[in-house]
Amino acid sequence: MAVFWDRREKPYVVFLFLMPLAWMVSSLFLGRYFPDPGKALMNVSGIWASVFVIAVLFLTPIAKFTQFRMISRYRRFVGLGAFMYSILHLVVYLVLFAGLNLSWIVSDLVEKPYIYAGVLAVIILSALAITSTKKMMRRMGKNWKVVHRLVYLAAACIVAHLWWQVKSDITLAMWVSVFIVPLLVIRINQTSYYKKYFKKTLKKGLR
Amino acid sequence: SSFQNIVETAYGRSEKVSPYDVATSYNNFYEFGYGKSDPKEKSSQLQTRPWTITVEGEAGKTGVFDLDDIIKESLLEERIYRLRCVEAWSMVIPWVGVSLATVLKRFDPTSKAKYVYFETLYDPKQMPGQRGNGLDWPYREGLRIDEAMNPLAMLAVGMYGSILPNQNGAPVRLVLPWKYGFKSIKSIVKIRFVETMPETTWSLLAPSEYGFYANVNPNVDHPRWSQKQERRLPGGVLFPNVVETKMFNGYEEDVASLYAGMDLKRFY
Repeated sequence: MAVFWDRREKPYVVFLFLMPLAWMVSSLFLGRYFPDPGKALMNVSGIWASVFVIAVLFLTPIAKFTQFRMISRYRRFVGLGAFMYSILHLVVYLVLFAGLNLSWIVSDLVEKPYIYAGVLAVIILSALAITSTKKMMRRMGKNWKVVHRLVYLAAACIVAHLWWQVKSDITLAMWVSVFIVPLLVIRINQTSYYKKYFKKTLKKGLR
Repeated sequence: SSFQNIVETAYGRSEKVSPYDVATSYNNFYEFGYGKSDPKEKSSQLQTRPWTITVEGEAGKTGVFDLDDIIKESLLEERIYRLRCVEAWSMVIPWVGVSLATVLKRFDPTSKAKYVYFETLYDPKQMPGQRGNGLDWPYREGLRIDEAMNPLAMLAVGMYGSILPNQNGAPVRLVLPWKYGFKSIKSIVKIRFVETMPETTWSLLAPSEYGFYANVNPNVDHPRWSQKQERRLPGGVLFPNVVETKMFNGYEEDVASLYAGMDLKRFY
Protein backbone atom coordinates (compact mmCIF):
# COMPACT_ATOMS: atom_id res chain seq x y z
CA MET A 1 0.00 0.00 0.00
CA ALA A 2 2.66 2.46 1.06
CA VAL A 3 4.68 1.79 -2.04
CA PHE A 4 1.61 2.33 -4.15
CA TRP A 5 0.95 5.74 -2.57
CA ASP A 6 4.53 6.87 -2.93
CA ARG A 7 4.66 6.16 -6.61
CA ARG A 8 1.27 6.97 -8.01
CA GLU A 9 -0.38 9.54 -5.79
CA LYS A 10 2.51 11.69 -4.66
CA PRO A 11 2.83 13.87 -7.77
CA TYR A 12 -0.88 14.71 -7.67
CA VAL A 13 -0.80 15.53 -3.97
CA VAL A 14 2.29 17.69 -4.44
CA PHE A 15 0.52 19.48 -7.28
CA LEU A 16 -2.52 20.06 -5.06
CA PHE A 17 -0.36 21.38 -2.24
CA LEU A 18 1.43 23.81 -4.52
CA MET A 19 -1.76 25.31 -5.96
CA PRO A 20 -2.22 27.92 -3.19
CA LEU A 21 1.40 28.94 -3.69
CA ALA A 22 0.89 29.25 -7.45
CA TRP A 23 -2.21 31.37 -6.79
CA MET A 24 -0.27 33.64 -4.41
CA VAL A 25 2.67 34.12 -6.76
CA SER A 26 0.46 34.86 -9.77
CA SER A 27 -1.71 37.24 -7.70
CA LEU A 28 1.40 39.03 -6.53
CA PHE A 29 2.71 39.59 -10.04
CA LEU A 30 -0.74 40.42 -11.43
CA GLY A 31 -0.97 43.21 -8.87
CA ARG A 32 -3.88 41.83 -6.87
CA TYR A 33 -2.06 42.67 -3.63
CA PHE A 34 -1.26 46.23 -4.74
CA PRO A 35 -0.45 48.71 -3.16
CA ASP A 36 0.75 46.95 0.03
CA PRO A 37 1.63 43.42 -1.16
CA GLY A 38 3.53 42.52 2.02
CA LYS A 39 0.48 42.97 4.21
CA ALA A 40 -1.93 41.15 1.88
CA LEU A 41 0.39 38.23 1.17
CA MET A 42 1.21 37.88 4.85
CA ASN A 43 -2.49 37.36 5.54
CA VAL A 44 -3.00 34.87 2.70
CA SER A 45 0.10 32.78 3.46
CA GLY A 46 -0.80 32.71 7.17
CA ILE A 47 -4.30 31.52 6.34
CA TRP A 48 -2.91 28.67 4.21
CA ALA A 49 -0.45 27.62 6.92
CA SER A 50 -3.45 27.45 9.30
CA VAL A 51 -5.50 25.47 6.76
CA PHE A 52 -2.76 22.84 6.50
CA VAL A 53 -2.40 22.59 10.29
CA ILE A 54 -6.17 22.22 10.61
CA ALA A 55 -6.13 19.55 7.88
CA VAL A 56 -3.42 17.55 9.61
CA LEU A 57 -5.34 17.70 12.90
CA PHE A 58 -8.48 16.47 11.16
CA LEU A 59 -6.81 13.45 9.54
CA THR A 60 -6.50 11.48 12.79
CA PRO A 61 -10.17 11.69 13.88
CA ILE A 62 -11.36 11.12 10.31
CA ALA A 63 -9.19 8.01 10.03
CA LYS A 64 -10.39 6.84 13.43
CA PHE A 65 -14.10 7.33 13.02
CA THR A 66 -14.69 6.70 9.32
CA GLN A 67 -13.79 4.14 6.72
CA PHE A 68 -11.11 6.34 5.20
CA ARG A 69 -8.45 4.84 7.41
CA MET A 70 -5.87 5.10 4.68
CA ILE A 71 -5.81 8.90 4.81
CA SER A 72 -3.69 8.86 7.96
CA ARG A 73 -0.87 8.00 5.58
CA TYR A 74 -0.98 11.62 4.43
CA ARG A 75 -0.34 13.09 7.87
CA ARG A 76 3.38 13.66 7.50
CA PHE A 77 2.87 15.01 4.03
CA VAL A 78 0.16 17.49 5.00
CA GLY A 79 2.37 18.47 7.92
CA LEU A 80 5.14 19.32 5.47
CA GLY A 81 2.64 21.52 3.65
CA ALA A 82 1.91 23.37 6.90
CA PHE A 83 5.66 23.77 7.44
CA MET A 84 6.16 25.12 3.93
CA TYR A 85 3.39 27.74 4.20
CA SER A 86 4.49 28.80 7.68
CA ILE A 87 8.00 29.42 6.36
CA LEU A 88 6.50 31.34 3.43
CA HIS A 89 4.52 33.41 5.94
CA LEU A 90 7.70 34.21 7.86
CA VAL A 91 9.67 35.05 4.71
CA VAL A 92 6.87 37.33 3.47
CA TYR A 93 6.96 39.14 6.81
CA LEU A 94 10.77 39.53 6.71
CA VAL A 95 11.10 40.57 3.05
CA LEU A 96 7.83 41.91 1.63
CA PHE A 97 6.43 43.39 4.84
CA ALA A 98 9.46 44.65 6.76
CA GLY A 99 11.76 45.06 3.75
CA LEU A 100 14.55 43.22 5.63
CA ASN A 101 14.84 46.38 7.73
CA LEU A 102 16.79 45.07 10.71
CA SER A 103 15.61 47.68 13.18
CA TRP A 104 11.97 46.95 12.27
CA ILE A 105 12.38 43.18 12.53
CA VAL A 106 14.31 43.28 15.78
CA SER A 107 11.78 45.55 17.42
CA ASP A 108 8.87 43.41 16.19
CA LEU A 109 10.35 40.00 16.95
CA VAL A 110 12.42 40.73 20.04
CA GLU A 111 10.54 43.50 21.82
CA LYS A 112 6.93 42.64 21.03
CA PRO A 113 5.77 39.41 22.65
CA TYR A 114 2.68 39.50 20.52
CA ILE A 115 4.23 37.59 17.67
CA TYR A 116 6.07 35.08 19.87
CA ALA A 117 3.19 32.64 19.51
CA GLY A 118 3.59 32.73 15.73
CA VAL A 119 7.36 32.33 15.98
CA LEU A 120 6.92 29.36 18.32
CA ALA A 121 4.52 27.73 15.86
CA VAL A 122 7.08 28.10 13.06
CA ILE A 123 9.81 26.62 15.28
CA ILE A 124 7.63 23.63 16.18
CA LEU A 125 6.58 23.00 12.58
CA SER A 126 10.23 23.21 11.49
CA ALA A 127 11.32 20.72 14.15
CA LEU A 128 8.56 18.36 13.12
CA ALA A 129 9.46 18.75 9.44
CA ILE A 130 13.12 17.94 10.15
CA THR A 131 12.14 14.81 12.10
CA SER A 132 9.52 13.73 9.57
CA THR A 133 11.72 11.39 7.54
CA LYS A 134 11.42 7.62 7.76
CA LYS A 135 14.97 7.50 9.03
CA MET A 136 14.15 9.81 11.92
CA MET A 137 10.98 7.85 12.66
CA ARG A 138 13.05 4.71 13.02
CA ARG A 139 15.73 6.41 15.10
CA MET A 140 13.25 8.06 17.49
CA GLY A 141 11.07 5.00 17.88
CA LYS A 142 8.17 5.53 20.23
CA ASN A 143 9.32 9.04 21.12
CA TRP A 144 8.54 10.11 17.58
CA LYS A 145 4.81 10.00 18.18
CA VAL A 146 5.12 11.89 21.46
CA VAL A 147 7.28 14.61 19.91
CA HIS A 148 4.98 14.94 16.94
CA ARG A 149 2.04 15.61 19.22
CA LEU A 150 3.62 19.08 19.48
CA VAL A 151 1.55 19.86 16.41
CA TYR A 152 -1.32 20.46 18.86
CA LEU A 153 0.78 23.08 20.62
CA ALA A 154 1.53 24.68 17.26
CA ALA A 155 -2.21 24.79 16.55
CA ALA A 156 -2.84 26.44 19.93
CA CYS A 157 -0.11 28.96 19.06
CA ILE A 158 -1.90 29.81 15.82
CA VAL A 159 -5.11 30.53 17.73
CA ALA A 160 -3.25 32.79 20.19
CA HIS A 161 -1.33 34.46 17.34
CA LEU A 162 -4.59 35.32 15.57
CA TRP A 163 -6.44 36.65 18.61
CA TRP A 164 -3.47 38.83 19.52
CA GLN A 165 -3.56 40.38 16.02
CA VAL A 166 -7.16 41.53 16.35
CA LYS A 167 -7.64 45.26 15.92
CA SER A 168 -11.41 45.19 15.73
CA ASP A 169 -12.33 42.58 13.10
CA ILE A 170 -12.51 39.11 14.71
CA THR A 171 -13.73 37.16 11.64
CA LEU A 172 -10.49 35.33 10.81
CA ALA A 173 -9.54 34.55 14.42
CA MET A 174 -13.07 33.24 14.94
CA TRP A 175 -13.05 30.94 11.91
CA VAL A 176 -9.67 29.40 12.63
CA SER A 177 -10.64 28.89 16.29
CA VAL A 178 -13.87 27.17 15.27
CA PHE A 179 -11.79 24.49 13.56
CA ILE A 180 -8.86 24.21 15.94
CA VAL A 181 -10.36 24.58 19.43
CA PRO A 182 -12.76 21.56 19.28
CA LEU A 183 -9.91 19.36 18.06
CA LEU A 184 -7.72 20.54 20.92
CA VAL A 185 -10.52 19.88 23.40
CA ILE A 186 -10.92 16.34 22.08
CA ARG A 187 -7.18 15.84 22.51
CA ILE A 188 -7.14 17.16 26.06
CA ASN A 189 -10.01 14.76 26.87
CA GLN A 190 -7.69 11.96 25.93
CA THR A 191 -4.92 13.21 28.20
CA SER A 192 -5.34 10.49 30.79
CA TYR A 193 -4.39 8.01 28.10
CA TYR A 194 -1.67 10.35 26.95
CA LYS A 195 -0.16 10.68 30.44
CA LYS A 196 -0.01 6.95 30.92
CA TYR A 197 1.68 6.52 27.59
CA PHE A 198 4.16 9.29 28.31
CA LYS A 199 5.10 7.85 31.72
CA LYS A 200 5.66 4.44 30.22
CA THR A 201 8.01 5.70 27.54
CA LEU A 202 9.77 7.93 30.04
CA LYS A 203 10.41 5.00 32.36
CA LYS A 204 11.72 2.96 29.47
CA GLY A 205 13.98 5.87 28.51
CA LEU A 206 15.38 6.07 32.05
CA ARG A 207 16.12 2.38 32.15
CA SER B 1 -16.47 68.12 -9.84
CA SER B 2 -13.00 69.61 -9.93
CA PHE B 3 -12.41 72.90 -8.14
CA GLN B 4 -11.49 76.12 -9.90
CA ASN B 5 -8.94 78.63 -8.59
CA ILE B 6 -7.48 76.58 -5.76
CA VAL B 7 -4.84 78.60 -3.92
CA GLU B 8 -1.52 76.80 -4.04
CA THR B 9 0.49 76.68 -0.84
CA ALA B 10 4.08 75.80 -0.01
CA TYR B 11 3.11 72.69 1.96
CA GLY B 12 4.77 69.55 0.64
CA ARG B 13 5.84 70.95 -2.73
CA SER B 14 8.90 68.69 -2.77
CA GLU B 15 7.00 65.50 -1.83
CA LYS B 16 6.32 62.68 -4.25
CA VAL B 17 2.53 62.43 -4.27
CA SER B 18 0.95 58.96 -4.05
CA PRO B 19 -1.00 57.90 -7.16
CA TYR B 20 -4.71 58.83 -7.09
CA ASP B 21 -5.65 55.17 -7.59
CA VAL B 22 -3.81 54.12 -4.46
CA ALA B 23 -5.21 56.91 -2.31
CA THR B 24 -8.78 56.10 -3.38
CA SER B 25 -8.67 52.29 -3.28
CA TYR B 26 -6.72 51.53 -0.10
CA ASN B 27 -8.61 53.05 2.81
CA ASN B 28 -9.45 52.49 6.45
CA PHE B 29 -13.06 53.64 6.81
CA TYR B 30 -14.79 51.01 8.94
CA GLU B 31 -18.18 52.62 8.30
CA PHE B 32 -18.00 50.75 4.99
CA GLY B 33 -16.26 47.58 6.16
CA TYR B 34 -12.98 46.28 7.57
CA GLY B 35 -11.23 45.55 4.29
CA LYS B 36 -8.98 48.13 2.65
CA SER B 37 -11.01 47.90 -0.57
CA ASP B 38 -14.43 47.98 1.16
CA PRO B 39 -14.71 51.79 1.36
CA LYS B 40 -14.34 52.16 -2.41
CA GLU B 41 -16.66 49.25 -3.18
CA LYS B 42 -19.38 49.96 -0.62
CA SER B 43 -19.62 53.73 -0.28
CA SER B 44 -21.68 54.57 -3.37
CA GLN B 45 -24.89 54.96 -1.32
CA LEU B 46 -23.48 57.83 0.72
CA GLN B 47 -25.42 61.05 0.00
CA THR B 48 -23.08 63.99 0.41
CA ARG B 49 -25.44 66.80 -0.65
CA PRO B 50 -27.19 68.50 1.01
CA TRP B 51 -24.87 68.17 4.02
CA THR B 52 -25.28 69.95 7.31
CA ILE B 53 -23.05 70.20 10.34
CA THR B 54 -24.49 70.69 13.82
CA VAL B 55 -22.41 73.03 15.95
CA GLU B 56 -22.99 72.79 19.71
CA GLY B 57 -21.53 73.60 23.07
CA GLU B 58 -19.30 76.39 24.35
CA ALA B 59 -19.55 78.78 21.41
CA GLY B 60 -21.30 82.02 20.54
CA LYS B 61 -22.77 80.77 17.29
CA THR B 62 -24.33 77.34 17.48
CA GLY B 63 -26.95 75.64 15.31
CA VAL B 64 -27.22 73.65 12.10
CA PHE B 65 -25.15 74.95 9.21
CA ASP B 66 -25.02 73.94 5.58
CA LEU B 67 -21.56 72.76 4.55
CA ASP B 68 -21.53 75.17 1.60
CA ASP B 69 -22.05 78.07 4.00
CA ILE B 70 -19.24 76.93 6.30
CA ILE B 71 -16.60 76.44 3.62
CA LYS B 72 -16.57 78.90 0.75
CA GLU B 73 -15.22 77.49 -2.47
CA SER B 74 -13.35 80.71 -3.21
CA LEU B 75 -11.10 80.22 -0.18
CA LEU B 76 -9.96 76.68 -0.91
CA GLU B 77 -6.26 75.94 -0.86
CA GLU B 78 -4.17 72.90 -1.73
CA ARG B 79 -1.76 71.40 0.77
CA ILE B 80 0.34 68.30 0.16
CA TYR B 81 0.59 66.39 3.44
CA ARG B 82 2.14 63.11 4.51
CA LEU B 83 -0.44 60.72 5.97
CA ARG B 84 0.87 58.19 8.50
CA CYS B 85 -1.46 55.38 9.51
CA VAL B 86 -1.07 53.82 12.97
CA GLU B 87 -0.72 50.48 11.12
CA ALA B 88 2.72 51.65 9.90
CA TRP B 89 1.96 52.52 6.30
CA SER B 90 1.90 55.98 4.79
CA MET B 91 0.98 58.00 1.70
CA VAL B 92 1.36 61.57 0.44
CA ILE B 93 -1.92 63.29 -0.43
CA PRO B 94 -2.68 66.66 -2.02
CA TRP B 95 -5.68 67.85 0.01
CA VAL B 96 -8.06 70.67 -0.87
CA GLY B 97 -9.64 72.59 1.98
CA VAL B 98 -9.18 75.36 4.49
CA SER B 99 -7.45 75.84 7.79
CA LEU B 100 -9.58 74.31 10.56
CA ALA B 101 -8.94 77.37 12.73
CA THR B 102 -10.57 79.80 10.31
CA VAL B 103 -13.76 77.73 10.35
CA LEU B 104 -13.84 77.16 14.12
CA LYS B 105 -13.23 80.84 14.91
CA ARG B 106 -16.36 81.81 13.02
CA PHE B 107 -18.44 79.97 15.66
CA ASP B 108 -16.95 82.17 18.42
CA PRO B 109 -15.78 79.51 20.89
CA THR B 110 -15.95 80.79 24.47
CA SER B 111 -13.18 80.64 27.08
CA LYS B 112 -14.74 77.39 28.33
CA ALA B 113 -14.05 75.68 25.00
CA LYS B 114 -10.95 73.73 26.00
CA TYR B 115 -11.53 70.89 23.54
CA VAL B 116 -13.35 70.32 20.26
CA TYR B 117 -15.32 67.14 19.65
CA PHE B 118 -16.17 65.78 16.18
CA GLU B 119 -18.61 63.12 15.09
CA THR B 120 -19.08 61.12 11.86
CA LEU B 121 -22.47 60.51 10.27
CA TYR B 122 -24.32 57.54 11.75
CA ASP B 123 -26.65 55.99 9.18
CA PRO B 124 -26.38 52.21 8.63
CA LYS B 125 -28.49 52.58 5.46
CA GLN B 126 -25.77 54.62 3.81
CA MET B 127 -22.86 53.12 5.72
CA PRO B 128 -23.15 49.31 5.66
CA GLY B 129 -20.19 48.79 8.00
CA GLN B 130 -22.23 50.38 10.80
CA ARG B 131 -24.63 47.42 10.73
CA GLY B 132 -22.00 45.43 12.62
CA ASN B 133 -20.59 46.46 15.98
CA GLY B 134 -16.89 46.40 15.23
CA LEU B 135 -16.70 49.94 16.57
CA ASP B 136 -18.92 51.81 18.99
CA TRP B 137 -20.75 54.04 16.50
CA PRO B 138 -20.85 56.88 15.73
CA TYR B 139 -17.13 57.45 15.19
CA ARG B 140 -15.91 60.12 17.58
CA GLU B 141 -12.77 62.21 17.66
CA GLY B 142 -11.46 65.19 19.54
CA LEU B 143 -8.68 67.74 19.77
CA ARG B 144 -7.40 70.14 22.38
CA ILE B 145 -8.49 73.62 21.27
CA ASP B 146 -4.89 74.78 20.70
CA GLU B 147 -4.28 71.72 18.51
CA ALA B 148 -7.42 72.47 16.54
CA MET B 149 -6.34 76.10 16.10
CA ASN B 150 -2.85 75.15 14.87
CA PRO B 151 -2.47 76.38 11.28
CA LEU B 152 -1.44 72.87 10.14
CA ALA B 153 -4.86 71.40 11.03
CA MET B 154 -7.05 71.32 7.97
CA LEU B 155 -10.70 70.84 7.15
CA ALA B 156 -10.67 69.16 3.73
CA VAL B 157 -13.43 68.92 1.14
CA GLY B 158 -11.29 67.65 -1.71
CA MET B 159 -8.12 65.92 -2.85
CA TYR B 160 -6.15 65.83 -6.12
CA GLY B 161 -7.99 69.01 -7.21
CA SER B 162 -11.48 67.50 -7.00
CA ILE B 163 -14.15 66.89 -4.37
CA LEU B 164 -13.44 64.10 -1.88
CA PRO B 165 -14.46 60.63 -3.11
CA ASN B 166 -16.91 59.00 -0.69
CA GLN B 167 -14.30 56.47 0.43
CA ASN B 168 -11.95 59.26 1.51
CA GLY B 169 -14.40 60.90 3.91
CA ALA B 170 -16.73 62.96 1.71
CA PRO B 171 -17.94 65.58 1.90
CA VAL B 172 -15.82 67.01 4.71
CA ARG B 173 -13.07 65.60 6.95
CA LEU B 174 -10.21 66.59 9.18
CA VAL B 175 -6.59 66.30 8.07
CA LEU B 176 -4.07 66.34 10.92
CA PRO B 177 -0.77 65.32 9.34
CA TRP B 178 1.21 65.15 12.60
CA LYS B 179 -1.18 62.60 14.09
CA TYR B 180 -1.97 59.00 13.15
CA GLY B 181 -4.60 58.76 10.44
CA PHE B 182 -7.46 57.66 12.67
CA LYS B 183 -7.53 61.14 14.26
CA SER B 184 -8.48 62.66 10.90
CA ILE B 185 -12.19 61.95 11.25
CA LYS B 186 -14.27 61.62 8.08
CA SER B 187 -17.77 62.62 6.95
CA ILE B 188 -18.24 65.05 9.84
CA VAL B 189 -21.79 65.94 10.94
CA LYS B 190 -21.18 67.38 14.40
CA ILE B 191 -18.76 69.79 16.02
CA ARG B 192 -19.06 70.41 19.75
CA PHE B 193 -16.96 72.79 21.85
CA VAL B 194 -16.45 71.26 25.30
CA GLU B 195 -14.67 71.95 28.57
CA THR B 196 -13.39 68.43 29.33
CA MET B 197 -11.45 65.95 27.21
CA PRO B 198 -13.95 64.11 24.99
CA GLU B 199 -14.04 60.32 24.59
CA THR B 200 -12.69 59.14 21.26
CA THR B 201 -13.56 55.96 19.38
CA TRP B 202 -10.24 54.11 19.23
CA SER B 203 -9.13 54.97 22.75
CA LEU B 204 -12.52 53.72 23.98
CA LEU B 205 -11.95 50.42 22.18
CA ALA B 206 -8.35 49.85 23.29
CA PRO B 207 -7.16 52.57 25.70
CA SER B 208 -3.72 50.99 26.15
CA GLU B 209 -3.09 51.01 22.39
CA TYR B 210 -4.63 54.25 21.12
CA GLY B 211 -4.42 57.44 23.12
CA PHE B 212 -6.25 60.75 22.84
CA TYR B 213 -3.24 62.53 21.36
CA ALA B 214 -2.05 59.85 18.91
CA ASN B 215 0.83 61.98 17.70
CA VAL B 216 3.11 60.25 15.22
CA ASN B 217 6.09 59.30 17.36
CA PRO B 218 8.83 56.82 16.40
CA ASN B 219 9.97 56.68 20.03
CA VAL B 220 6.68 55.36 21.35
CA ASP B 221 5.79 52.00 19.86
CA HIS B 222 2.31 50.61 19.62
CA PRO B 223 2.19 47.90 22.32
CA ARG B 224 2.03 45.26 19.60
CA TRP B 225 4.20 46.66 16.83
CA SER B 226 7.03 49.06 16.10
CA GLN B 227 6.36 52.64 14.98
CA LYS B 228 9.98 53.40 14.06
CA GLN B 229 9.48 52.75 10.35
CA GLU B 230 6.66 52.87 7.86
CA ARG B 231 5.90 51.44 4.44
CA ARG B 232 5.35 54.33 2.01
CA LEU B 233 2.70 53.18 -0.45
CA PRO B 234 2.65 52.01 -3.12
CA GLY B 235 5.36 49.44 -2.44
CA GLY B 236 7.30 47.44 -5.01
CA VAL B 237 6.18 43.93 -5.95
CA LEU B 238 8.79 42.14 -3.87
CA PHE B 239 10.15 44.90 -1.70
CA PRO B 240 8.33 47.58 0.27
CA ASN B 241 9.33 51.20 0.37
CA VAL B 242 10.47 51.43 3.99
CA VAL B 243 10.90 54.96 5.34
CA GLU B 244 12.09 56.03 8.80
CA THR B 245 9.16 57.54 10.69
CA LYS B 246 9.83 61.10 11.84
CA MET B 247 8.76 62.79 15.07
CA PHE B 248 5.33 64.36 14.56
CA ASN B 249 5.51 62.86 11.05
CA GLY B 250 8.12 65.49 10.17
CA TYR B 251 5.99 68.47 11.26
CA GLU B 252 7.97 69.07 14.44
CA GLU B 253 8.58 72.75 13.63
CA ASP B 254 4.87 73.44 13.32
CA VAL B 255 3.48 71.52 16.29
CA ALA B 256 6.21 70.61 18.83
CA SER B 257 5.42 73.71 20.92
CA LEU B 258 1.89 72.38 21.56
CA TYR B 259 3.38 69.58 23.64
CA ALA B 260 6.25 71.38 25.39
CA GLY B 261 6.94 69.80 28.78
CA MET B 262 4.54 66.92 28.19
CA ASP B 263 5.61 63.32 28.70
CA LEU B 264 4.69 61.92 25.30
CA LYS B 265 5.25 58.35 26.46
CA ARG B 266 2.44 58.85 28.94
CA PHE B 267 0.25 61.01 26.73
CA TYR B 268 0.52 58.89 23.59
